[in-house]
Amino acid sequence: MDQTTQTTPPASTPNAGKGLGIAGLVLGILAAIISFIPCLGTFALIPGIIGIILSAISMVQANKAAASKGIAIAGLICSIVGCCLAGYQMYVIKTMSTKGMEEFNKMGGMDSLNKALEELRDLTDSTQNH
Amino acid sequence: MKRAPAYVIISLVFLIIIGVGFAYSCFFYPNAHPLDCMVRAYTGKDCPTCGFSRSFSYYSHLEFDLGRNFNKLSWPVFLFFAGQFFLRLSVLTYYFSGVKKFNNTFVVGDIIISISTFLLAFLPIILKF
Repeated sequence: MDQTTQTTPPASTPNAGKGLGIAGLVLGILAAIISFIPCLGTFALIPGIIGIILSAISMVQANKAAASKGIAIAGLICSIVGCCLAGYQMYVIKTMSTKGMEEFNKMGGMDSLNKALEELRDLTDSTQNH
Repeated sequence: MKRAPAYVIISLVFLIIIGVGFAYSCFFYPNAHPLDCMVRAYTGKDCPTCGFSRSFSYYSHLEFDLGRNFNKLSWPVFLFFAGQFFLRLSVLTYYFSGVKKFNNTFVVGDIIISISTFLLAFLPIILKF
């Protein structure tokens, strides 16, 4: 006799993934706000990445339970925006620092300071010999 | 026990975060801030938000004129956070006074007001960076 297994659709739980979604949204908004502040902008990567992970998990859970995904999507968007802006700031700071270093090396870098130190050493040697 | 709506939980979390921010400004007064500017650390140059911590410290001690001397752009940002603090506080007061459900117009209005005031406060910084 053929045994047919009947699969029942998952029961819809309206709160599935809601807690994680809220956490993801809060972290996403926080990342987006921090990423606009140049002094702290790169720190936004931390809440941003955690926000993306939490929102993604919440979205999967909501998808499985056929619950609403609004909060998870909002959290994901805010986290991605925060991460992108933080990444951009990181890139700008890195470019500025390498440019500054190149300019410093082009100007002679530490040559003048080394020369002055050598002259000072010579001077102290000569005064000691006298 | 019935769970509070997401809007109320998010408002509560932001109230705590902004409150902690103000407490930080109040505590590290006037010039003993442990966080250093990333831009200045790597490039040696001041960024558009350098001086914000000192400004916020003075603002939190109600010395507004002194605070504005450190960074003029800090004033709209401080007003934004102060406004958000009172907005979140009023939402929570409203909720705990017995209103258990917020209609969509209220929430969407809050989102629009928050985003537009955020852009107004932060636009000068974005344009300067």
